[in-house]
Amino acid sequence: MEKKSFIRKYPGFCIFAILGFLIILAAVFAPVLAGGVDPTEGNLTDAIMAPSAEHPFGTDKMGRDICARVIYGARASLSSTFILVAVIFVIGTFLGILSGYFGGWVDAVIMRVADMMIAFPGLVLAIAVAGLLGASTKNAIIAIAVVSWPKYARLARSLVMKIRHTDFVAAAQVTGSKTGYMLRKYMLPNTITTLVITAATDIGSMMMELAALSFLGFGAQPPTPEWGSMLNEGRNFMQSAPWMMIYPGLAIFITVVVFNMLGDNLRDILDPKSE
Amino acid sequence: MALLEITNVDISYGKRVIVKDCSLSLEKGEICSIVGESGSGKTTVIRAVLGLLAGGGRVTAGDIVYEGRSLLTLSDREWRELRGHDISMIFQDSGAMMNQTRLIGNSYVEYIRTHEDVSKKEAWAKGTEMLGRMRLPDPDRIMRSYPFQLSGGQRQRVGIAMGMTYQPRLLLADEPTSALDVTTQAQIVRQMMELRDEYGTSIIIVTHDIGVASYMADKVVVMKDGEIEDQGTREHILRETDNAYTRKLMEAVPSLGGKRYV
Amino acid sequence: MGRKQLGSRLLQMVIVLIGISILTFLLTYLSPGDPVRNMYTSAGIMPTEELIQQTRDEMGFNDPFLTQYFRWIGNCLRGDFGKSYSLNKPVVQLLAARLWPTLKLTLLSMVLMLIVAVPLGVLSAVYKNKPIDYIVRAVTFFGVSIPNFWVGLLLILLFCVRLRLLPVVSSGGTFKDLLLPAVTLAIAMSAKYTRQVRTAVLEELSSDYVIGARARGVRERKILWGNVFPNSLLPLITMLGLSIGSLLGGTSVVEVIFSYPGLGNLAVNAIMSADYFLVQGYVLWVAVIYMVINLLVDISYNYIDPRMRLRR
Repeated sequence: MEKKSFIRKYPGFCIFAILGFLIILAAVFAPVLAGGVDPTEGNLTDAIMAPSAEHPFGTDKMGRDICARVIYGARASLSSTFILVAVIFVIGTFLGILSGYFGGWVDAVIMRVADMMIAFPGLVLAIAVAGLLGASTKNAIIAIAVVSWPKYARLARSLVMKIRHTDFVAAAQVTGSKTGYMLRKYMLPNTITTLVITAATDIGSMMMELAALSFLGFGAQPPTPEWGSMLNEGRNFMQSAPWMMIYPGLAIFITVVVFNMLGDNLRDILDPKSE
Repeated sequence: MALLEITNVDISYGKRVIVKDCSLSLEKGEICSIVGESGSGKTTVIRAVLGLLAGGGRVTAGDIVYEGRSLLTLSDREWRELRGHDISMIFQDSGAMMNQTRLIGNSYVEYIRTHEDVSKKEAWAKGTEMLGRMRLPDPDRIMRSYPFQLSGGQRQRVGIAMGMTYQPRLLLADEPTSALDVTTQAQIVRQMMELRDEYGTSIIIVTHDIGVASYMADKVVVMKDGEIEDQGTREHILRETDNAYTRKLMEAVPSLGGKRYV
Repeated sequence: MGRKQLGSRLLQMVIVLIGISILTFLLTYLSPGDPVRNMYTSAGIMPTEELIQQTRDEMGFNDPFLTQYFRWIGNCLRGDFGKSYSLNKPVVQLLAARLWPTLKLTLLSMVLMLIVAVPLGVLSAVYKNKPIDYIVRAVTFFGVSIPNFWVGLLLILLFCVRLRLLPVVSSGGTFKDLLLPAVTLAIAMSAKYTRQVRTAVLEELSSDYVIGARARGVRERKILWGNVFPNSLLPLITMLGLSIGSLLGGTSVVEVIFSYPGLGNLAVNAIMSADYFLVQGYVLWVAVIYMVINLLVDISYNYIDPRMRLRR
């Protein structure tokens, strides 16, 4: 009976959780969904064909089926996004907690480094990093992670600092709790909820940043199907074959909408007092 | 006809009933004090009179009648004429009730020009004069200050000055002395009582301090958990009542040499 | 802002700049390509290994890291940011030429954004939870979720290809060239900013002084426009400063799409051709601009808000 009232209480979250899950499923079971069509194989004679029964989204300049590419593209986009968010979350939280708990020069160093990242328009540095390290999905993730962790670090730090000097923490220290234990059992639980919410609501924008980098050519490389790079390919054929850029963009849009809604709803559940 | 009649009022926030069945009547020139602990609903009642319940709060039963008019059905324009003119309110921190980024003078002028069609200069002069009448030293400087630049006592006096600008018939005071030190408290309390003597203002003062309440009030209402626990004249509350809660409140006042200075 | 505060802030900026410059230099130092090789190949020459080594020695590329770094920084401070070998011009010249177009684009986008975001945000806050609020919130939600490069492409498709109203490739000169890129940038930013305006106004609306003013009978409209709105502007100024940063970054993508001759376009091309000096110069310039803007924003914030100005 408890499950029933959860659904009733949070219909938004459940709907978008299901949708998000479906998207993930689509990525995982791409071969099935694409009906066995190979996204990297294309017949040049079939190049640039408008959407039809055989190719629901048309074909690209190499004759590859765009529908299949969009479906397979979910794999690249989703996996790299989740990895990115996870990396930022872990690094940011870790450094932030350290910074807040130990204070002193640890705090100073970490925060100055964070300032460096923030004192700079994010995408610019990301482009520079990705571009100079070499274009690949891995480097794109590194690039964006380098630029984005300060947000989480600062958040974690301020949350830790709020309770750092409270009595119950002091009591634990006085009774001899070791640092590792303090960090794990006291600092972490306090920060985790807010940070998880931040991460969830960031999935959408991180996906877009990754797509932007791939669009510019600094992320996923051909022939791997990825929505951002597909948009880039479609750019040159705007006049003759607009479907090449419409569908990948639509895919990004829909996915981001779903995950943004999911994040917002998650926030409403875990932190209802935030308006 | 009583000046203000609160009859069987329920105040709710959404589905939760915060204040139940509150009834209170105030005559002209009377001072009534509502006492109670935090959460007893006393502030809610007084805010309801001016229609200033915070988001979502509503009077869901009973009526509040001022000079024969129900306050629950007033239009925005009618409220604008009443508030700050016939019925004024002073708060626990009058400074916070003013825009921190504006000079006190400008806030005062804005207030005066809402009720009178005068120039900024005239309004400024009137404000300065009012501050002087509240015995604030150097009213000119105060007009040209920001709220955060004044002391707590000065801020409260400014609040009272603004509240009394149009000699309201009813003054609602929400814990006006709670944030002050004892000496300033005494001064403010005395000043408020002079208002009644000089202008015939009726006052409802909300406080958790029974000492202040019994000093000032003709009538005392004791509230607990959203309901009226006990009410009556000062004498009744102080000495005659056999209500257990009221007795407990009285006992909470520390005694000196066996006597309670209430 | 007190002199002491300003001083420490400037010091902070210098430290951060040094850090960024080291970081950038480190990046190019570590990156796999060879600037000398690139220099030759982009000039159409196929160099021998000896030639490469010789040139590397001559140009100081084989010196230790710190030597190279200080040489570069020293030159920068003298105004010499090196030479771009992909475009064969001094870096300073290239950056300067493209600075103004990018600034124009940024300014127009911001103006467009403010025109949309401020009224909508205020409206949404004042009529909270009424239909107009829901509509605005829905629209801004989609606005934030849509990738701006896709929007740009769609706009080109609509206005340039289908409707033939505007030129596809811009030369950065006329207003027509500016319009679509600015609109593209403005869309995503308006969505984000409208939400922020809404939050700021809502927070102000729940302030005590609003209740105080109401208790004094002041008109709602006066409370809103005379008090709440100006006060909401304060945090918004700070947010505006931060937005400029993301704008400076976001122009890269939009400039590439519209072939707009701005800094972002230059940077992307520079990175793709591994034109290290140009990239380094670009990063440094943008960092300085961004930090200066933020400093100005903070100073003005400190000046405008009397609480900051007078409270010590």
